[in-house]
Amino acid sequence: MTPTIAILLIITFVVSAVGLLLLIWSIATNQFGHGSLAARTIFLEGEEGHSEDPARTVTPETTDDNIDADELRARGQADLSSRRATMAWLGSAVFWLLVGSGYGLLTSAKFHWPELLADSEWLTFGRVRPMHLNAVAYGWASMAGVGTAIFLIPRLFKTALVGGRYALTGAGIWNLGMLLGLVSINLGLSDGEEWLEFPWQVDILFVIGGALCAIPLVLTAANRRVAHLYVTSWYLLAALVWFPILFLLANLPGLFPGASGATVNWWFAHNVLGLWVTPIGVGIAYYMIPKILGRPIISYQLSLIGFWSLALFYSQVGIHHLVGGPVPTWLVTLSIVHSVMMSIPVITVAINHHGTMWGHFGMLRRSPTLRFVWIGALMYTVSSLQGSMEALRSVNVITHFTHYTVGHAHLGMYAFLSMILFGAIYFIMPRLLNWEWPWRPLITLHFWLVSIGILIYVVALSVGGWLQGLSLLDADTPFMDIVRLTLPYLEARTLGGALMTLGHLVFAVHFVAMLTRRGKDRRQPTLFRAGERQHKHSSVEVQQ
Amino acid sequence: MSSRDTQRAQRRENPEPSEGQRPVPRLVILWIGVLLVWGVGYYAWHIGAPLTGGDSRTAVVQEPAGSGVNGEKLFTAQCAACHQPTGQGVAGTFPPLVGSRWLLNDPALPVAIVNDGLSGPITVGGDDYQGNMPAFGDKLSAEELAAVLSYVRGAWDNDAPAIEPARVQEHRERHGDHDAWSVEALGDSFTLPE
Repeated sequence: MTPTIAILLIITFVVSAVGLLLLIWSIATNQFGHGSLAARTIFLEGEEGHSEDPARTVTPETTDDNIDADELRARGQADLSSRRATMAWLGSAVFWLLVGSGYGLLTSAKFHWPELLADSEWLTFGRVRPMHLNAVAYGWASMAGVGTAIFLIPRLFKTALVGGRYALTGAGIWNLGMLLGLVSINLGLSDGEEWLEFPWQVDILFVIGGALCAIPLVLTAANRRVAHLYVTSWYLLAALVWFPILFLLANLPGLFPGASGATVNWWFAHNVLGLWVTPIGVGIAYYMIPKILGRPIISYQLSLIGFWSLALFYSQVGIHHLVGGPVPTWLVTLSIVHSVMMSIPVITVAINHHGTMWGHFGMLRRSPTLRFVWIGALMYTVSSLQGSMEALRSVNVITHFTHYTVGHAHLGMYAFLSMILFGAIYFIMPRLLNWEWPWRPLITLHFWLVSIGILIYVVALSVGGWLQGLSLLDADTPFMDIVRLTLPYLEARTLGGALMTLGHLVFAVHFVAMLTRRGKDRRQPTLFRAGERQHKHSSVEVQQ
Repeated sequence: MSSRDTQRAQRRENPEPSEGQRPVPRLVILWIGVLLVWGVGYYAWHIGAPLTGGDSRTAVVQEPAGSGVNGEKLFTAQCAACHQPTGQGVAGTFPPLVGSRWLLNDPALPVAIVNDGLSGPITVGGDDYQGNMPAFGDKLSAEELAAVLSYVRGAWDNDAPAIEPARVQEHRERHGDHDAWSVEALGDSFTLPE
């Protein structure tokens, strides 16, 4: 790297970082006309200071005293308007989760059982592995994320969803794209780049389906009845703007050949994580944690730093996947610096989330939504800091091309994002169906299966991958010895994956039971455990 | 149904979330400052790093192909079936290598014979042979061919200097894809020993 390139990089870096801090300072200190005051006035009169237990039994007396009639009307209107579209996106997501888990489990088993179903070309590793990735990334995570955004945005803007029918049609087209895309991969018609396997002809369906969903959401935002945009809406709207641009650019056929194709490939693939699923996950956590605790997020200023630094730094980090590859040194160095700078948004978001939770961890024992979402938020902190470390050349030299990276990816996509999505679905469905989750033990079972599963998964691959990386650096170790070294860890991964898949089956059964309104017609939320207060009130319930 | 029945979950909810006004902790500001300084330093530190590759790791040093070539093993694998492990050949059928002036005099001769093959009558050590030597030019690299010739020129009682791969390369460039040599053809191009 020549001094000229280094100086240009340094100037760009310093100017953009200082410019960003100035922007944040000016928003936080109200230089643009509204800011901190507006943030405070978000509470409707009579609501501020109410800390409410989600487990609290609803008695008509307390409810009507506490909730402003306008607030309740806006909330009801928002939920009603988004009901069908949200259910279509979430329901599809649960279906693709099952498909993706099945293919994931099969892929995992093939690592230590290579003869398994190897004589069928439809079930070879090279096809089932990308089918797993695409089913969970675009089917489960993206559809559940969009569904949650459709539910939250009308609520955040206190208005009805505009054009819910378009979002419903969008779900249909997106599902068609998923089906055709997965069939194409299974036929061997893959584009051949990770995260971009769907043929570009199929990608058009995703662009149309996504646009049919994004346009109503943007129109809804334009119709908003709030003066101040709460932090969740920044993240959700940003994700909905960023992802279509990324997806379109990276999938344009024939534009990026060779090494520049690899660069665009990883620019896109990492941005799917950072500029699509991360803002969705973080945005949902920003909504659910204060919502359930009944306390405001502790710091508006930290929210600002977290959001804007993500926007500035994330787009460049993907090239750290090409450390050691045939790309210019300055580009890789830029990406490493930005990867490390990501600790700024991660730490500020962590302080905001966990600082809001501080002193209220007891509620994790009862609220399923809070437990799933908070663990997801905690894993966001862990996986992001781990990611910053992995980008450093000294660590990358060990972890690159090992199972460690796969463990890290699942820590992000699963322990962070999927846990938050599970929590969001547990929150949303009772509001759409006016029905409580039928069976409490199934939620408990779901939680423990997926939690223990992902714990085994990540620990096994992190330890196994690290040892694998160290052995690969030793030229005297025969390659087959390294393969044998990883076998017990790969078997453990299959065990963890099987537990997670089982958890998804439990969740899907419960989801269908919810849709068909099984169980008793109850008025209490379905929690991990019934609190004492609920027992007291249960007599009141019976009397009603 | 009254609205009380239709919006049960909505009724028990907390208000929509909002933000508090706690200031940014000093440690966070300090950390941002530290990272900015580190970022500038990291860029500066990479001045002088190679322009491509984007990596500072050192590749495992591999011995260049050729120096690891073992002439004796090649001889056992390719030659010993006819010329015998002792290099004595088989009387009347396969000529000996030990003491053969075709092998030991001008290095250009054995290079030509092994590379392109030899057919027709040939006299070695006073005995006549009907030559049917196959070509090895498409089987062995220049390094391998030089290694196996160097081995036989120095093995047993032989004591001729080694042959450099460059000489094999030179032969290949000059004669290209040559047919099997006859003794007459060899005589046109090289100096014959007898």
